[in-house]
Amino acid sequence: MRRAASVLAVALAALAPAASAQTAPPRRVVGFGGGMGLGGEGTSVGSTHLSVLPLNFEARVALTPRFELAAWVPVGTLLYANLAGQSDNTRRSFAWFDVFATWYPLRDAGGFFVAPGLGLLYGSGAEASGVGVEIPARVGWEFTGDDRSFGRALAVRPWVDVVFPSGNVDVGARYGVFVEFTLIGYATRAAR
Amino acid sequence: MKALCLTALALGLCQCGSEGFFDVISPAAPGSVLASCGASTAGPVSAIEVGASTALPLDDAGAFAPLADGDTVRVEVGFQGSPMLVLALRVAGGNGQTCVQQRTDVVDEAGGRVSYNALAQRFTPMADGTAVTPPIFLPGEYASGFVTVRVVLGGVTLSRRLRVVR
Repeated sequence: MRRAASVLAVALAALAPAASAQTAPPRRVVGFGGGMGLGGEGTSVGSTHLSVLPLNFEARVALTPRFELAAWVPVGTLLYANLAGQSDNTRRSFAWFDVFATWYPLRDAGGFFVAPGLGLLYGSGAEASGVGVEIPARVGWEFTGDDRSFGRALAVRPWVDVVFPSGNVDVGARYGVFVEFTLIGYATRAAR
Repeated sequence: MKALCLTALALGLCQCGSEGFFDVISPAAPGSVLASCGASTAGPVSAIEVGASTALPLDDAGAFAPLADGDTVRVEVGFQGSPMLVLALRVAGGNGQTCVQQRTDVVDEAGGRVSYNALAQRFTPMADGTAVTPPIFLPGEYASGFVTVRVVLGGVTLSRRLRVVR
């Protein structure tokens, strides 16, 4: 009887979650960072493009250890579209931002993540303007250390835009996939 | 960043994430032109006219009333509540072209553009040798007064100064 109890105690100890005997990782609070992307897109009017997102800014707020909200702005694209990409007789304005809800299903603030999002776009040129509603999603993996203060995320990002041109141009769509690499630094606090 | 973009663009490899958006909103996008009436042409015509269209159903052609300088056009209210001019084009000497690239601009007295249409239009041949479009809708914020309708088609430019009444 005593031997059986001893065996049971050893077995329970072996099955007990290792985390219970370890210090929980720090909790993320806010994060800021940037990244870049490369991908392809198509449109409902038949055009296709290979696209690079040369510099993206991102800010994140951690609501729980496994759930973060992110605001994403393609700074490089906006600078290019509004400044560098202007031709002699074409002045353009372009704005674009997305927000994401990032969920880490496997462990706190790291590893596999899924991030559905929502975005808005606006563009105007000499002869046209319009707004777009973007529905993106990120699926990827975030590499991070035990202190959770720095994340390196690699993600695939499919997206579709519904574009509402002004004037008498038909409603259209864009769609595509980016591969994104993002570096985020976080402010953290000790877990309770 | 700029160097990366410019290098990529120079190599013809990629855009920086906004070109597709402008493709969709631009009335001159190749796809939207094709969507208007098929494979368009822009061959020469000998004459063009702009007129009021009362064709029903809306894709019919033939009810064409030519407009001269000083004529009056009424602002119509579309099914979705948008004020618009409903015009049509008639061409002569088009050699049987049925889908023709055109551009119609409406500008006010101050020179500001009120509306435009840059989609290729389907022309229906008439018995007299001319060809007529279905109604062309030109939505915009029209005030009572004069506007200038300027049409460019097949190498010919036509302007008409019209009185708009609401």
